[in-house]
Amino acid sequence: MGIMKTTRRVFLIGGAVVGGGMALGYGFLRDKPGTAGFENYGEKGTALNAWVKITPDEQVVLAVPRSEMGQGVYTSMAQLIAEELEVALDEIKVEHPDINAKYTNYYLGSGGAQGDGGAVKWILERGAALAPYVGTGGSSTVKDGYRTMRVVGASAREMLMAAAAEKWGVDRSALKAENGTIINTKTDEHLTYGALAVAASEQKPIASPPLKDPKDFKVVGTSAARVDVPEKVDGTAQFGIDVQLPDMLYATVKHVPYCGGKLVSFDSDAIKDMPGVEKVVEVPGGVAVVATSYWRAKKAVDALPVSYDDCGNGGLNSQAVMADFRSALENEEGFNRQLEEGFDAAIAGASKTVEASYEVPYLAHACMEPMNCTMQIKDGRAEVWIGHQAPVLVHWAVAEVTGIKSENIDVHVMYLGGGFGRRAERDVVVQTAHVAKAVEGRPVKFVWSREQDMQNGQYRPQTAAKMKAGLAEDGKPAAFQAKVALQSVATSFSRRNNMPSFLQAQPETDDMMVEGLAHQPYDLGAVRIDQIARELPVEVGNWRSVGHSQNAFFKESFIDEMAIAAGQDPFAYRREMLTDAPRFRAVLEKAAEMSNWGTPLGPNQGRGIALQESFGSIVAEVAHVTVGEDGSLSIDEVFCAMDCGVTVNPDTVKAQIDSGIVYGLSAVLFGEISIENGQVYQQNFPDYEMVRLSTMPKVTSFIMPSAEKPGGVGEPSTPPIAPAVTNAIYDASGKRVRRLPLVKENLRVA
Amino acid sequence: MIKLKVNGEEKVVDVEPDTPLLWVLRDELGLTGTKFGCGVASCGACTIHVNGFPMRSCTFPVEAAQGAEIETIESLTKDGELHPVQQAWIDNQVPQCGYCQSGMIMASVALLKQNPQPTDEDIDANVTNICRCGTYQRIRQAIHDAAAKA
Repeated sequence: MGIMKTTRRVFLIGGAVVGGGMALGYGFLRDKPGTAGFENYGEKGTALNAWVKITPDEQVVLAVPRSEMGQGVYTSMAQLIAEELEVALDEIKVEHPDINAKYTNYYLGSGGAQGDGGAVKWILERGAALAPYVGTGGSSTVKDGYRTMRVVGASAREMLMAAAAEKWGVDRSALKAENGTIINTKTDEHLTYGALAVAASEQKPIASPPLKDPKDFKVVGTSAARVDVPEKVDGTAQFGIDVQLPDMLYATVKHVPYCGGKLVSFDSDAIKDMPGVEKVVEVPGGVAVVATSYWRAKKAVDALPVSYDDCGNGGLNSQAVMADFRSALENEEGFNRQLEEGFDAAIAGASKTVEASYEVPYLAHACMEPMNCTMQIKDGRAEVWIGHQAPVLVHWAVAEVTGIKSENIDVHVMYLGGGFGRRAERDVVVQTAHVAKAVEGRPVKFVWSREQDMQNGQYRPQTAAKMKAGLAEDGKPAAFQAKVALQSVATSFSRRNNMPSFLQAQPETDDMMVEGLAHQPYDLGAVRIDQIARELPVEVGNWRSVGHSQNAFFKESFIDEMAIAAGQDPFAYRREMLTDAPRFRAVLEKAAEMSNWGTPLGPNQGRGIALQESFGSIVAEVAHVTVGEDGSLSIDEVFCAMDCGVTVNPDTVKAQIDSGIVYGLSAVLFGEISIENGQVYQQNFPDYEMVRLSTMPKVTSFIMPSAEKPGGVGEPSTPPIAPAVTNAIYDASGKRVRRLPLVKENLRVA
Repeated sequence: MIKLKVNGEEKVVDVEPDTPLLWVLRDELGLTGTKFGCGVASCGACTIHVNGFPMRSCTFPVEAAQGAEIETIESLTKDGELHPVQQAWIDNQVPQCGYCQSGMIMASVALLKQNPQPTDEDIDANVTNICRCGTYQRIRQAIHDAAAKA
């Protein structure tokens, strides 16, 4: 397996490990603890390390340098620290610090690779020279922090204990930490953490503080209430778009409507007398109007006469692109990504062959909070407020546009109104930097309209797949082949985000194109997997679960077709192929059991099952659907079993299961971004419908008990829902869906 | 100059009369709890109450709001006491990213005012807002919980 696993990972490598300070965060324990300036960031206090500080009024504040976009990381990371620090979760506050090497997301940086000592090590070292990779994505936060955050908490606790031991002149063994105090068990004297903070900060941290046995956990593994929920029910939560600063200006943009097109000219004079208009600024991708309110800027940008050049892309149509993909799958070799010995013989000698082709469209992320960024450039410094998944990219982008060095750039990471991979991009940051430079001295809030957001995304790539299997006489697979044609997300991402040349991804090694398709847990016989990469002027990006989102649809639909061709039950057929993969089999069996698989259903009802591992977690889903004679469709119920290893907060895992299913279901039912005459056709939510309360099925989920290392949970429930639903449609109606969304196949939810 | 009554207070704003109420609340009055989602009254993130009825403020011109009682998410908590719908939201740990939740809560409060014991169908028909994180299941439960405690 290559190291260039995903773009997010590639990118991550870009900043991965902090020179010498080793992986897994232990760097902070060397010699001097290093506090990353946390004591002076936000609420001032005495820092015990870069994650724990105590304010003069004895408030314990924890740093969570990961982006909160709904997945609950402010809480799960705080739980891990609080467990070892011995503080109650409702007694702490969470702060998002600015980037620092100590906050590197090592897991994301290495793509989960544990390093082969060769190329991986080299790239990580090169990356370290650039910047710390501080970012949130790839369902990596808990995987990265599960041990490190406990070490951080335990280290701070030991410093507090050492300070107390000194003060009382007793041995550490006489002390215990409990609920924000150190207790002398001999005398029953107490000292609060606040009282000990300064003395504790002068203690030398020990390299390997004792960690609790997981059986003694009181906070980790519980469904602790989320720390961000109270401010999300009273309107006080501050998202990027909510930033308000004295003397602030507002800006909004009109992009070049053609994919790969460019701006030719605009007529500022035509709008200069409109109310509140301050300035018109050309920015990469379009032109922005600065005004005294968003609405004034919006009206003016709408009225601004602009001319464009389509740069030869005015004839681009996604249907024609799909036709090219189909033809390529027939006629081109592509890049081989997996080829098992005996494949040719196995497929030639099969007693039966099954073939099918599948297609999926481009998809937009459609975060509820439109893209925005607030920035002030003043006295040689830049201050930025943004909800972003990769604050290090924000630093790079601002430095590149303004020439200001990273140490003079402060990035305040706000709550993200949805991320899903969209907020790992730098486009709006670059534009805002141009505008902030043009109005230097004054802060400016740059907000895209929904239409600009919908039409200027980095979309989940449109993809075509051709599948073929050879079955043995008993129906078991003897050979399995898949070939996909699409654009490389890794290439597109690394290019537009201006990654250094050694981090530029290549389509032939972009593993995301076949992730979840190659290297299956199923015993599929001899396997061959190929990818064809196309260069197109449509930007493609990391859409929740990335390659898994389409590959699970291709693979799990096709395995259903293989089961039907073999005359076998789709669940039993899969289970047979998982004899050597007990974790997978257990998850599959659990989902089947939850859904009462095999019991009779009502007329026009059907069940479908699908299994997909992604981001270190295994998920099986069963959908129940009803299909009317007229094509009316109802998604009645969804059952989901997930094995995500050990869990930090089961309730947030369950919330993520629901969330991933709804995100995937919206795509199955409605989701399509189409390109017509070089432009994105869809403009706003009415053209890009999604699941609402009226179309929301009942979802029942189960987390497999496990002590295995944690898997990710933000993405893995998305991939299986598409094939679970389409397999259920086949079961209900005999109609095999090989193209999404369902609304285009005349299957409509009521 | 346009006079408004927002959360019980008289306000005067100097904006063009066609400015959507959403932007007056957010940019002029600093009430950022009400969110911008689509600008075409499709997603409901900007839902507020106008004379007690739910209204999508992103397409509601400010001049039409003169003389009306305007209430936003910021008005729900009274003297530090959460509204029962907000409490139900916390009890059910509804929000994920949280961006749509002000609108969801305002739509739900309005529904319960009109229909104190809504069925699932009533909820589906009246709370048509979008939540991209997919918190619908918990929203439905929270509305039922708030109704049960009323």
